[in-house]
Amino acid sequence: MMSKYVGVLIVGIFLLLLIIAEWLGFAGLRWGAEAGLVFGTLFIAYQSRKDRASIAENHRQQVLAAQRFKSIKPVCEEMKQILNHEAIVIDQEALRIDTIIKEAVQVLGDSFHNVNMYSDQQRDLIKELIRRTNPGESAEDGDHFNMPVFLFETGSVLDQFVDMMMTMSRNSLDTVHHIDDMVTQLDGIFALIENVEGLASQTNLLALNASIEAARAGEAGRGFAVVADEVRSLSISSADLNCQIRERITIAKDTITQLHATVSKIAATDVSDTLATKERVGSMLANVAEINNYVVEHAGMMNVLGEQLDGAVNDAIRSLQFEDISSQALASLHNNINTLNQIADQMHQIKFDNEDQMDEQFKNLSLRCRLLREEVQSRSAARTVTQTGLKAGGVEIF
Amino acid sequence: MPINSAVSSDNKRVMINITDRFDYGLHQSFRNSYQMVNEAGVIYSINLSRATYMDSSALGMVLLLKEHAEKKGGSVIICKPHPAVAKILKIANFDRFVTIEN
Repeated sequence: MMSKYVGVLIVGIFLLLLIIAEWLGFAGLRWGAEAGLVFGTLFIAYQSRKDRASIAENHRQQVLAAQRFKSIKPVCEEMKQILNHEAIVIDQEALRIDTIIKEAVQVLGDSFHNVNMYSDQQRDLIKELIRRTNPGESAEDGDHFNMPVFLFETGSVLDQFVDMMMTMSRNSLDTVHHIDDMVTQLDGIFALIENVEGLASQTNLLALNASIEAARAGEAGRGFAVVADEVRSLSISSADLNCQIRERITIAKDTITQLHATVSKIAATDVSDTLATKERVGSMLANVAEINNYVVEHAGMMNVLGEQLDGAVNDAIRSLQFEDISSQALASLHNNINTLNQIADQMHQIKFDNEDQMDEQFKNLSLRCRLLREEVQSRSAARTVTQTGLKAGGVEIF
Repeated sequence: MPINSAVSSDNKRVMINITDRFDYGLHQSFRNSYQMVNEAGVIYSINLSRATYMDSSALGMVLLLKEHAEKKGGSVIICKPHPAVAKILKIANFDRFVTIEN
């Protein structure tokens, strides 16, 4: 285009030169100016032709470019759509995962809390069990019952029982001995009564003889006969009395014989089998003591296990912090989605009706994309440094 | 006789020997074996090596003998109890009352 103005300028200069030559009347200069004028005109004509050809070429190029951009436009539109769509889907899924994890962690946290509580209760029960079964523990607090004390008391009661049985044997035997002595005494009394009976009967005979002798003496023995009769009746009374005594003592002896039989039965009762139960109960108590020791030993082991269980539960509770980390990770997904949306927006902002600025627009798009990429990369690097894993996190019990 | 007794020449020791069953049936003869001994400080030794059984009344008899002996400053020794007899002596903790020599 410039060359066209150059041609006009040349023509103008030579025209001015021709006027000056005409005015001054320099024929040489005029011819030179005319020749320059012709050259300028020719130059203009040539340039004009050349410009037209260039414009046509440009126009053709522009049409081609427009056609090319027209085919890129739906691609960009489609990419923008899919980027937006994918961003929405990822966003929804991230939200869903976040909710699921939060709910699950809530339930798990409650469960572990309960496990902790039950474990504490269990440990209290085991401690009580140990207290009641352990020989080392004191049971002097009255209302509580301790197995070793029970075993000791039972052994004492059994010993008392055996002693009582022996004392009973001794006492009943002593009674039997006394009854035996009494029977011996009664037999002595019977012998004495027999002697007295003999005396009475001899007195009776003597009185009879006296009566006979008194009768033979006639009138002189009458008084003596009265005395002899009295003596005789006394001897008869004495015999009656003896008879009554014998009857009474016989009854007493029968009673004592019955008493002897009864006490003998008691004394003869063999309780050694009953005493032998002491040994059986003793061995049963030994078994109980053994079981008790077993319980003590295993309750102690259960106590240790309970502590280990607590430790495991606490580890599990600590592990629940993955919720925080996953939440942060999901939150960082939002940044990535934003990046996608921003790219989509940039693509959407390309104006396809202005072909002249297409290159410029694409250059801008490329630049924006590079900046976004660098931003995302630096963010990722920062996150990798802060979140290496669960172990790096602090211990938090809730 | 399942029971016989002998008194030593110095009257200081009474040996009572029981064979077979030592039970209530012997109470009279067991008593007779010591009842007449009234010397002071007599040691009564009961040999139970051939007694295969001892019942609870026999334990009572030995206790009465012990009382009789201690009244006069004497004592009672059970000698070589048969295993079956030793068992019931152990159940009754009889070594609390008399000396048991195996």
